[in-house]
Amino acid sequence: MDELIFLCAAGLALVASVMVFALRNTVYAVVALITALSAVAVLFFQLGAAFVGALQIILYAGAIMVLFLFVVMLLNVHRDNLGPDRRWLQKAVGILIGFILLGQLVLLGRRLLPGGGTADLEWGGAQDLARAFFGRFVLAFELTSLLLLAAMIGAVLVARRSDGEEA
Amino acid sequence: MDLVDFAVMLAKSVVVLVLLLTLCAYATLLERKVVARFQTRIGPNRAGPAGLLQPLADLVKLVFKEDLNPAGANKLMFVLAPVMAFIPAFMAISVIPFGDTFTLFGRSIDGVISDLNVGILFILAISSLGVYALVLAGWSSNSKYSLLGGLRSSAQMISYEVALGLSIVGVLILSGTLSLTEIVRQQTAFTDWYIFKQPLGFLLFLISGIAETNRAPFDLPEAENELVAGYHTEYSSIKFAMFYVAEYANMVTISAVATTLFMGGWNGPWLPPVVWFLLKVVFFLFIYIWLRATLPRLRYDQLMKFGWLVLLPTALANVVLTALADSLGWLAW
Repeated sequence: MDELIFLCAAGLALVASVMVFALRNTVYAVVALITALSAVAVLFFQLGAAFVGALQIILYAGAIMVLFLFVVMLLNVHRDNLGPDRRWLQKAVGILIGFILLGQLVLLGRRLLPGGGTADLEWGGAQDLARAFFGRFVLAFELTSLLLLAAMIGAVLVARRSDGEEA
Repeated sequence: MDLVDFAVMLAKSVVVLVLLLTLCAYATLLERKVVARFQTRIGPNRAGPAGLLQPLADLVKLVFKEDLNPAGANKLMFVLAPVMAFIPAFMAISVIPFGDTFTLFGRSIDGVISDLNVGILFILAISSLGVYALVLAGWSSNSKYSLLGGLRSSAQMISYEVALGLSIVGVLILSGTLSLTEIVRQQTAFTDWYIFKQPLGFLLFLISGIAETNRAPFDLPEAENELVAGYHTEYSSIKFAMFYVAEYANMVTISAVATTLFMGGWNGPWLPPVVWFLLKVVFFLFIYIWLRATLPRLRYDQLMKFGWLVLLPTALANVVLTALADSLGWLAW
């Protein structure tokens, strides 16, 4: 039973992830990405990390993807008005970043799972995560929040400026 | 998990699903009856004794209506949207406890389909997925009314979701757990109900819950005089019925969460726990209908201002005050 759920969720996550860049309709791609993120949340639930799974859905599948969908729907971008074709640069940078992430994943996997088995999850609960965030990693956590705050203020400023010109 | 556990799980799921569908069907009848009384009419009374078969008649009528697809609509998303409204609406109820653990044929059975230790977060997560149905329905219909309705409702749901989440933080601070079963067990005595320790939190939850389910007086997405019927303008037949049932299922879910968090869940004297739970849920459904029959619809800018400038700061203040009062021991009676 557990194995069946895992295979379904993992398979769905993989297929949906491929669809994200294979589909030509951007709205379909966003829906595929939502599906992929939700499937990953199922994997979290199955590992016993229900808190992380719930946050995955609330933050990624629920909140961030709504904004993606809004932008895609409202801008309605077509291939013709994307400007000069710089896709070779995008592809090169994308492949480079992809390999870096893959390398990190392999290294992390080898450190966490020395025997090649499943990880012993002691960190999936709300209390464990809170202890990690506000204890050992408090500096990194607060720095990240500062970064997000700066980004938010920047976004508001940019929106304000264009608004002022129109008025 | 052995076969018997699986069978118990399946049986519980079927019972809850049937119960929820029945509750949704009769909530529509309750709404029509109660609103009729508010307007000094009688309401539906032809189908069956006192109109009790009206939901069945409505269903038959809707199923036999022609299923229209507007020209220029995105077929796939147009079909998918009602399904995406329907499924999350019926998933959230799976973590709501409707009774304490009981023993049947020597097996102890939990009074909940899945006793998730982060139950309340699961409900917030699932209900946040419902917004996609409205956006995609609005976008795929190829109609201006639908698109505007979809945009409005998603802006509204995103805004009020924040206040909804913050309004329950007070209860979570006091209870110290995210498990709904635990929260109900802490409210065994009447005076321990969290509505008395969190009156402001309760009010905030009720208001943002109504806004979250797009009900009157926050039913801007369906403002007839501006947007015809909002995101489901172009929908007919069974697809429309799915949106309609999903709306009522969401109402039932919010009512059930309010019951669980603030009104002691299944706790109550004399009657069996499940009956108490259902009575409290129906009470909240009545409040929904009462408000709909009483209050006029807000204007859109009023709605947004109220959400961000009144509801959100009040919810934040409630969190700070509760944390302060809890650490000083004022709320431990």
